[in-house]
Amino acid sequence: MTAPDSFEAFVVARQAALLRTAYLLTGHAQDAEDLVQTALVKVVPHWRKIADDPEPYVRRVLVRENISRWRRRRWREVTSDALPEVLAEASDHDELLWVRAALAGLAPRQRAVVVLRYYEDRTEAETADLLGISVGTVKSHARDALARLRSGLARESVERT
Amino acid sequence: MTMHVKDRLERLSDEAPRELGAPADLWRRGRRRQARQWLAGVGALVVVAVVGGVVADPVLAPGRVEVATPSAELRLPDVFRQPGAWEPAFDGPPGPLAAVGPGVRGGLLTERNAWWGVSGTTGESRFLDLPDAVVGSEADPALSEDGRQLAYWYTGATADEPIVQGDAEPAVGVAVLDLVTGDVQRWDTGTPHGLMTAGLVWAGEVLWWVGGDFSTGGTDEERDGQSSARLVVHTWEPRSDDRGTPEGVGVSMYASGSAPGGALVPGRAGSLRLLVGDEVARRISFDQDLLFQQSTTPALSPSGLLAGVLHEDPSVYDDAPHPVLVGEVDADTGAVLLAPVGDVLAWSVLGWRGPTEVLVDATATSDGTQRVIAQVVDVRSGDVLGPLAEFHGNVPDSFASGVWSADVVDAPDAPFAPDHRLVGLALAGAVLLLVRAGLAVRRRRDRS
Repeated sequence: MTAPDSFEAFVVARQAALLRTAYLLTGHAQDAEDLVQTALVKVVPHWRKIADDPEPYVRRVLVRENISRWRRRRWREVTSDALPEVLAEASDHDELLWVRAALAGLAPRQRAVVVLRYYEDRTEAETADLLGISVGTVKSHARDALARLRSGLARESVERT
Repeated sequence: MTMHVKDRLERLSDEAPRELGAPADLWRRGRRRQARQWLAGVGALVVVAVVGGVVADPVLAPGRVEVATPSAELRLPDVFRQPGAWEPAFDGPPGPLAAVGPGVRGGLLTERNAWWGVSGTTGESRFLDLPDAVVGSEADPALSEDGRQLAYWYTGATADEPIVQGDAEPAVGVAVLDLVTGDVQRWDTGTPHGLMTAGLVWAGEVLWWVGGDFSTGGTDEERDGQSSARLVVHTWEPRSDDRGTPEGVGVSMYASGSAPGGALVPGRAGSLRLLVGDEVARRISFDQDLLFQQSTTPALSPSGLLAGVLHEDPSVYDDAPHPVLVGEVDADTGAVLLAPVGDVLAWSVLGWRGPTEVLVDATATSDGTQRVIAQVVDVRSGDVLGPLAEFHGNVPDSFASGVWSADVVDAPDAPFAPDHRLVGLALAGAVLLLVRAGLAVRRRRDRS
């Protein structure tokens, strides 16, 4: 029942990065924590096989679990007018709200494509592999998602000026 | 624009929490989840397997057996087949039976011993649902000569601590099942500890049974696992319910031979007693030792010929075939001078097929399997006239002695009756494959 050193070392080293990705995928700090914890819990039975290079498998579980959760619970973020207190004093508070709202407007798989392609700088093939979809689907999701983000961010700029 | 999106995503991700819970806790949760999933999976498969096994029973049950009309004549099946463990029982009165034997019935959790019968009209072999029947080597049932009545020992509650023979349930009485009507009559002995059973023999319409209350004299240590009983001979005609306790009749009826309208049972000093109805009709003495073996040796013909197999050394029980002997019973003295029938060897004489034709058992190889067969021997010439029937599995303990002279009927093949547990497992496996196939289809759909 004791966790192997490699698991503890991986969690300690990679938890922040995983949480950042999860935060972008979910849009909520608490949901991000839940998502990463769930992904790590799910990889435990397979740890012996993936211990040498666990990151790809963990990330695959992470993004797929997020989509599955959405499917199961029809879980969609409800955007709030106010970010957490720590952001209240940030100079780009409004911009962050707009980015988050724009992301929330995407379907979970589109959001995952955006996060993996443009935040984690993964190739289309890697993104397709992680999500278990074809490269063509990645391309079309990326194209649609970017169009919607551009549209949303453009509106934000107009409203700010 | 792309860089613009990346910058904003990176800036937004700065708002993410920095730390998770302790890795050890996550590991423990993972292990518990794995255990739960394993148990749920195994549990689901077990449920499917059990449900499949239960459902298999009615689904795989063969059709009803045609029940003989009361006037139907007895037929000799060409195959006496012990049913497989998962074959069904007769689903009502089976009609006249040709034979009854011991077998094993399958169950989802345990197997159990059970009696089976061979229809004396269709040749079908199926299990018998005998209410409270004792099933064991010390409690053989007995079929009447016409195969229409089956006597068996039954079990029930005893007033005091039961004493049993072997691992069977304690016998508390004798029951007779009318195989045509399904009526059951019982002779309840009210025994306090159970009965020592020592034989059921039909003599025409009268059942002779030998049994006695187990004695509890002495302590357990003094008895040293041995039990004793005072055996008593009883007669019972079930149709009129006449009951008797004849005096001066030997109590040894562990085996019997067939005789027209009666039965042969061992007597004193190697002699035989011919029972007819509720009387000892005569004593038969002979010059050589005959082997007594359950209900198959010796046999008396309607014309007064006695056939049996020689028991060279009565103090030795061996598994070898013995010479077949035949002799004519002297009408006045009951004495028989036995002579060998050619060089024919057999384990026992089954019965008389014709005035000079006797059926004996032997072994033969068919379909690559060595089986016991019933073959006809002409006692005048000593010629073996050929096989008449085969025994597949256990040789029955009791035969309707009238069947040996009856016309032969082709016994049907064994029905398809696989192990219900395997059916359940196969269903569970099929469900597992379907689930996996469903998941694969879903993954493929996700990719498109």
